Amino acid sequence: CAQLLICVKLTPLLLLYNRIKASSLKLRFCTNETQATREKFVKKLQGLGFDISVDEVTAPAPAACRVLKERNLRPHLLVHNDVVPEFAEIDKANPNCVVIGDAADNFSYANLNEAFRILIGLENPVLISLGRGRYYKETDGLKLDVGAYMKALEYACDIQAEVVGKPAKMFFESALAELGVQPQQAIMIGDDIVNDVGGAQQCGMRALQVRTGKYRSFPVGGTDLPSVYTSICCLNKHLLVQQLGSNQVVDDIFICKKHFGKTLCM
Amino acid sequence: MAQQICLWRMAARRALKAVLVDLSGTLHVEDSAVPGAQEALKRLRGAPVTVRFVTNTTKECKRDLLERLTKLGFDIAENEIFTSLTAARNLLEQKQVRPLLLVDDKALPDFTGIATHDPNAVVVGLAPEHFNYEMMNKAFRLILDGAPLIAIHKARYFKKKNGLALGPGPFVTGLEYATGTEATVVGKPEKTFFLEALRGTDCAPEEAVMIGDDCRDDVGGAQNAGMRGILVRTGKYVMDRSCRETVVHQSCPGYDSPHAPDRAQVGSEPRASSRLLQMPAVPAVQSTQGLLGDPERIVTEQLVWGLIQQVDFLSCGLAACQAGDCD
Repeated sequence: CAQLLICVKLTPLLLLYNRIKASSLKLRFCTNETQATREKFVKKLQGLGFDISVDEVTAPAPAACRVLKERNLRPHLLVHNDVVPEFAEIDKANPNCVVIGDAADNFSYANLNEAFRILIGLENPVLISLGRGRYYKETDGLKLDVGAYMKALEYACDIQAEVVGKPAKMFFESALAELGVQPQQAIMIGDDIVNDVGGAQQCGMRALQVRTGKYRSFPVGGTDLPSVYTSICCLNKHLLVQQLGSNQVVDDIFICKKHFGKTLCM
Repeated sequence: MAQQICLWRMAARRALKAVLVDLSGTLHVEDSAVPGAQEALKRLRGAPVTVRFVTNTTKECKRDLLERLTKLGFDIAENEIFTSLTAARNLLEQKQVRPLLLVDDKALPDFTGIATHDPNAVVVGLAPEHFNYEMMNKAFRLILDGAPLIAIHKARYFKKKNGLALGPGPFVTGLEYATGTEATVVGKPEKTFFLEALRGTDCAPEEAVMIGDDCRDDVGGAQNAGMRGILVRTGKYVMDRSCRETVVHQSCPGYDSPHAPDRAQVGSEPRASSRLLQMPAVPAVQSTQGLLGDPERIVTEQLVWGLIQQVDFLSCGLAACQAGDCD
């Protein structure tokens, strides 16, 4: 039977989740979450009833650590306090680069200035950004994501950041590699048209956008319009079987198949 | 002597009727006047030109600027001052919007009379105390919902006593990216800034010259608006290496930099002329240290003085000398 990968953005849909788990479909969580360590994040989901482990999560901070180690980079961190433990084993003395994440209230003028001064003082400034999201949704409204501040530092220093995390191709590729699955056999499901849908499509994966979370009704340039449907629950099982060759069904699943340039809704 | 004169490549010569003078770095550096500048201004006043003092400040209202300049011995009237804050205010009035003002408290007097309740526009100046996450989110949500984003200017950073500090530019860029919109920038080097500054002087851009210390913002911006530009070697010129080495060459042809030995000096070598003649841009007159007062630069000062005297170089033959030396 076909190996299938579904990358699921975290929306609490326990029933579907369990069904996928019970099937032969492989599941991996691709998140740009950088306000917490994977452990904390997984615990939160376990608390909601999801049977999930740290190994099933692909996140930017660990990916960034790999990059830092490979290139002998010592970072100055401008990240959320709760994700700092992910960098515990990295040498941070005498920084020769800056790592920026979704720092929320840590995005103060003073902190940004500190990061800026370090970069502007380096002969070879390196700015690593854990994602490039524009904004995200919280219970108290929409908030600026790491991308906005990444752009701010890029402009200030006249440099280009290196993005670790969605929508960087490398990020999806590493998730696929961890599962041993080809892009054509995988679907990315998420609410962010740039980070989730756009990034996945550029990798050769198919993508579905859920109308929850960040979803807003206007289209954004640069991505093929995916199928948009009410929630992850409304996926037609029949088509899943038909299009993806899986002999394992998941109730109420439908999917739009993307042919080069054309979006066919079936 | 004739060699130390810049070349003109102008099809139609127009008399000079307006002079825009930059403030910080040109007339004064922080709380000290540039040596000789007061005298130079006095002489400028004797010419039949309209003078305007223009600046990109985001935290000094006109009243405060006037006070500072008067104390330094400059003879200036409030209505001769045009700042990026004025430009922003004009735009708000034109658009009839109510702004969320992310500007220094000291700049607020320039916005009196503008309603700010229930904002439907965002104005960003240099205001570190407002660039916290909460306020930025407030601005972000307004813009995402359609409020126009007005930037006083987009400076990347500025120099403080203890090092460099982020300017408003990075924050404006971040908001532009997050909202997928473009800010309207009202300060230098935007074309509209210079055109707005000339409004009320009854002068066309071709009849005006801008004198400043920032090659990109002052000279480059002015040239882009169709004016002539003069670069002085004080203020920012001294501090911004990158400007001298890169931008300078592009917008100030013939400029000689000690850091770039391959660049031709103005008129001092026969080769210089042909290079300059190939430059398509409206040439900037190169000045040397303290254009407005350094007694050693008599030739250049005479040139500028000649400009404001509306002397026709070609007819007086001076330009013929230039042409001869430069070809």
